[in-house]
Amino acid sequence: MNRRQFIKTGLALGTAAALGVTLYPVVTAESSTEPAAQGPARTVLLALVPALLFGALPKDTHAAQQQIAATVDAALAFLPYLPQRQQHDLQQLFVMLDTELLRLALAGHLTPLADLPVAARLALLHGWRDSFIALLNQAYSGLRELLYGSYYGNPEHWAPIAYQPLEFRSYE
Amino acid sequence: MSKSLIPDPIAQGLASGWSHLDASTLTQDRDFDTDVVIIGTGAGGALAAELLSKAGLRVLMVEHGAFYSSSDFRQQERWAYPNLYQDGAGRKTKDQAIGILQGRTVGGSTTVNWTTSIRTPKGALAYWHEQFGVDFADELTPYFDKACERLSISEWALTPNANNGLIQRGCEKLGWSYTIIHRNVNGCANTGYCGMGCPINAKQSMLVTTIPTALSHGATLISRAQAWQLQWQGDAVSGLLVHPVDAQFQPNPAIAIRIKAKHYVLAGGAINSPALLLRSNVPNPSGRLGKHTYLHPSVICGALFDEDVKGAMGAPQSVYSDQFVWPSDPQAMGFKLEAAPVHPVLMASKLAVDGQAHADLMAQFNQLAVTIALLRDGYHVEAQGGQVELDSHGQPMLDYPLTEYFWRGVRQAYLAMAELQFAAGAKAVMPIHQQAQLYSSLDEAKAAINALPLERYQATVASAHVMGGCNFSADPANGVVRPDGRHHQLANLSVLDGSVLPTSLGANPQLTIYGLTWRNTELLIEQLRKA
Repeated sequence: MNRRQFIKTGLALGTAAALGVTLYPVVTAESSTEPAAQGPARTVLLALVPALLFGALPKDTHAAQQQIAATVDAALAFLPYLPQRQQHDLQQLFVMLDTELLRLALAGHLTPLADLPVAARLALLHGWRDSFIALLNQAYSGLRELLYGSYYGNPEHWAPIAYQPLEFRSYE
Repeated sequence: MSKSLIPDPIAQGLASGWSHLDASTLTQDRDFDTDVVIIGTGAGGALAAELLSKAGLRVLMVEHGAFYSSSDFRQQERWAYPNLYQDGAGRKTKDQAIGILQGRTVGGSTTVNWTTSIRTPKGALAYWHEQFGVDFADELTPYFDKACERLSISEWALTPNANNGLIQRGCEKLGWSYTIIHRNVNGCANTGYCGMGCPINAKQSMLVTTIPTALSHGATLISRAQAWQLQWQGDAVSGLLVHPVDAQFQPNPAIAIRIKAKHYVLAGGAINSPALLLRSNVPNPSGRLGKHTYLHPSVICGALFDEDVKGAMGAPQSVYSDQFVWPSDPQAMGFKLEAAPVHPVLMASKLAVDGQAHADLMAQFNQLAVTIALLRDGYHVEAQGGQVELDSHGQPMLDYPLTEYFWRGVRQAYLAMAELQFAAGAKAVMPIHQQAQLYSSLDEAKAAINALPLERYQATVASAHVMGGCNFSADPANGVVRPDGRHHQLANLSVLDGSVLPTSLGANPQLTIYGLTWRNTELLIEQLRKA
């Protein structure tokens, strides 16, 4: 994150705070398994998977879309296993990234993530990685672990890495 | 392979009439009365359950995780992590700088650990004697012997897999010490899936050893149930409140399971045991409850080889090096060198690169070896561990500061791992750090490692060993429990798990917990008989 982005982030976070929005409110939030809560999460994750997994996704667009969708489904299915505290934190992050003003706070621009080129989405994540703000460092680490884990947890994605585990019975 | 070809002792036991309640099926409150209730079924709780039930006591075990067995286990991380690990293997420290792998299933971490069995190092025993007035130097030896016999712990006789073989080869070339690991296995097929639940019941975890014995001796197991709070008055515990959990292991406070017992054994592991006591607001005159929680915080170095390593296959850990674990310089943080199994989720989520670079490394998955350095915390003023706190939901968070002393140790660990890997024939090495790259010579790696900014989030830090938070001490002013595990203030409460350790070990903890628990449970049985 450069100085200009840093200042914009600071300004927008200040605005968000002034509007009564906090990143990590202590509330009894809905479980992320509930459809209403999945909307922002799905939108954000669908936008970030192609950036993080650029190079791993197949060149064929249809096949890539299928893998992206499967990865996001797996990530959303995993979230309810996290402590409620972490679920709330992630849910807040997804809502912010899916809301125009709050996206300005976190991403430094008003453009929806899905409308950004893939390289710009990755640059956004790396901005968080290199930020001085610990919450953004945590958001970067948390999202990448979630999405890489969700992608490489799927046996259908193992052919390129030649991982062939033994199966002791039929699992599905 | 057909399901029926692998005998499942748990399925057989349940069919024979073991007493098991899956609490997630409850629709109304339940009450239980027993001689001893044991919270947690890992290395401490399950061994205690076996000994207590064989002694004729009525035993009730409470476990947050599910009663899964080999018929359920899948050799897939996407199933194993959410179903067998704490927080779906996503447990983190409060600032999320350290990932913590800890089991949450019947058998606890023993169901998913990598089977490494090491007796308590002399350095740890000497430190405990000096600082905590507890002399276990010779006393634990017969209990280690018993545990080794009970759990078939012996030196691994097969050739180490390539991921471990590199440690042996590198150490031989450099003149460093190394040890062939003792493992708790019987009939191991060397498949490499210890971390996902042994598919053939070869690992002598608590799941297939002490828990079946306890159940066969009349013990009851309540699974999918989170022990929430101890009720106490004066110097005695009077009850335990437990809540069922749902399919994702989240507690349901609307239903209560109330347990009354003559004696209460806490064995939820470091982090969870202190959290229960904090929720219960028990006496804490030493101020040490939940504090001094240790992790063996570990850093990682990957290495690429020309030939296949296939680090997913074979015993995950069979060789370690203690060359650096007990340094003569008191200002140096010691570290132990071990291998870590290379499975896709573990690897992909830990690699510190993204996009095309990540895909390029994953494409070399089978040529990638992984060495880890476990830093020995608890022996220096700047390594006093973390503190367990409760979040707004009453669940534990571990606040674990990473100090300059730790980061100095990390740099030395990176340098040692790179040197070891190159000595073993690696063509390139890469510390798992956001600013590190693949380095193709030791000189290049050394220069880069010496320049790496070492701070939280930049370096990937992980832990598979949780210790402390309810430390034993002869002096009540310096600990939560006595050396025999009995709580200093609450007469009918014992803590029998890794949380009693006053420091980390510089060694994988399961055998220490077995030895200590065996000793202290024998003492407890004597005391209960007298009472």
